Amino acid sequence: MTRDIFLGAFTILVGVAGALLTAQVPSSTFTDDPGPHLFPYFACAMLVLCGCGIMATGFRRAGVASQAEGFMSPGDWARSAILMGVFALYGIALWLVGFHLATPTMTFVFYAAIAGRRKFSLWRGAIYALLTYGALYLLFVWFLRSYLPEGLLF
Amino acid sequence: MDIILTSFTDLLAPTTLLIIFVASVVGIILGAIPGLSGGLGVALLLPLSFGMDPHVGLAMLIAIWVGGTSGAMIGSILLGIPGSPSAIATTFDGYPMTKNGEAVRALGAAIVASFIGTVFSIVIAMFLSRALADLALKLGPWEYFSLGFCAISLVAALSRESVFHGLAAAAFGLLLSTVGFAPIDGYPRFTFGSLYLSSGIDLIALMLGLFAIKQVVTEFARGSKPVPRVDTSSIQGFGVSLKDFTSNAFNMLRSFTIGLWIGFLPGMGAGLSNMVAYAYAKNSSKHPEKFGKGCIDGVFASETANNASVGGSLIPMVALGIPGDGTTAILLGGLMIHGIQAGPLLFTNNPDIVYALFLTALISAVMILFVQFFGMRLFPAILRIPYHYLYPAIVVLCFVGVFVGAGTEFNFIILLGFAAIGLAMDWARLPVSPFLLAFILGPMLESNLRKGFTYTNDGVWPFFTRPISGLLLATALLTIVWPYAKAGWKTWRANAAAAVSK
Repeated sequence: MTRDIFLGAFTILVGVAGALLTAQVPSSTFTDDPGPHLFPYFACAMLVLCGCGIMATGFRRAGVASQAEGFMSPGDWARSAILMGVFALYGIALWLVGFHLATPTMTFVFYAAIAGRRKFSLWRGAIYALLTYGALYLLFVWFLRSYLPEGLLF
Repeated sequence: MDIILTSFTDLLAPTTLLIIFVASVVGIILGAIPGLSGGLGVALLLPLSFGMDPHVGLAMLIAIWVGGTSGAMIGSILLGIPGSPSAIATTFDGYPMTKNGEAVRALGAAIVASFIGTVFSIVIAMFLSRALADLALKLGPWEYFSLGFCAISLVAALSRESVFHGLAAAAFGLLLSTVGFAPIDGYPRFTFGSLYLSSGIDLIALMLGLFAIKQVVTEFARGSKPVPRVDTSSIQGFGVSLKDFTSNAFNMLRSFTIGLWIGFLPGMGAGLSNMVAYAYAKNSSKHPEKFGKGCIDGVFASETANNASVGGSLIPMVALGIPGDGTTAILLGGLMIHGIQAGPLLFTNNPDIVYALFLTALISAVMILFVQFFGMRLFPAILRIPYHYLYPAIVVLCFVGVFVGAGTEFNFIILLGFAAIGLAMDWARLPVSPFLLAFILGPMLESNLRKGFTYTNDGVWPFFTRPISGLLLATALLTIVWPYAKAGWKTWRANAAAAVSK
């Protein structure tokens, strides 16, 4: 199975890269303490061993189709990437303009993106975005007395 | 016995009962909301308890905690998004049951299992705290390391692909858990000079990215199928048959023991016990292939174990003054603020407080049972909400939740980064549970591994030569090797049979 061969190679690569980065961690050992390197090395060794095992499994199963082959179509991946991009935009908006502006606006955008043209309604979306914003404000500010993102620009 | 009766009578005062009831309901709500938890509720309401009588203030905190642990299963079962790490394993079969139109049955099983887990663990904690705490003190870093490693191996062995996939996921989790300052000496590792990474990767942001955001993205991309409509008008009792209980009696007993045991080990708690109990339930089941597709046994195992950890983690807190998990650490702080010193002398100096803590948890468990009994007719209404209304609210809640938990926008990057990693793991068929379990246990494993080396001059040997530690490591090894040994044995027998027939 090609996917396992790729995964195995990637796992080995991460293990080796992790070991190289671990070697750069400063340390000064005392008594019998093995220091801050031991555990990351242990994890990296596990990665390399498992990577070899996964690759071997991949070669053994080469040519056998797996359920994973059909995990998502290229169109599904594109839709995932678009939605992740919209979520990233919300994160940036929270950071820049804060909760009060970003949340109602982006809730509406999420609604529009997920509803699609067929289920989209401007008024319902607007009311929904304001209600969600209000409910979150009540929960976090009024009830939990939490501090919310205020925005870098304000 | 007189002290128990006096404490119980004090708690029956109408105001105190009302506070326990409200706190239990608040706990259920916080537990059910992704990103929040009963533990967060305890932390946020701790200052409110300062002005209260210690009995009432601590009763409020305990009730929120118990409510939060019980309520976390609601999101797991109905949305596939665990309310807190204690309900991760509930998602594995609870959500498929909802997709199969069995949401009520899953909720009923979880409610009853939660109740049984909490009540029996509290009763045991109440009467055996001192004896069990003495036992915990006899265990050293070797046993703690081996127990954690054994738990990871058990969960890794559940991988549908191969043990290598499970162990690789666990190794990724272990490596990521080392980001930040190292234990013992505090050297920074893999922070790349970032201040945000110096305290490590935020667990809540990681968990919500892996479960909530990833799920919303996947369902959106694939075009999710509507969940079957749940008819709540015909629910009888808890919606679970007597046969479900009887066939799971041993499973619940085993999960309860696991939950209680893991709960009372310092530094571990419901976040670990639910996954270990699930792994044991699947490994010892007569029909392991049904797990992950909507098997009620998995829900019983996870929910019994995580609630049994409630009583379990109270044991070291009360008897030794050592918190069993993060929430009991906050509760311990609450005790100290009220001038009460937890530890061996607590039973002598403040027995009323000790029994008030346990009795509050019991009263709270009973109240939660009633609230959830009636609530389970209402909870499935969430499934009727169209996705274009439900998902935006979940996403916004996740973003705000991860900010509130740590007070930094950097967590947005972690949230989205782990959603992407979750998608990649699904594509590669790397299981999420060993990854998450290893990430949670990583700091504890490392700390105990290093302590194990420094406590003696024998290096690595005590990990293998101390009886309990050696047994746990042998179990871990057997778990890893068993699938291959079993397959090899079957092939050898088949070849032998073929040779005989020739």
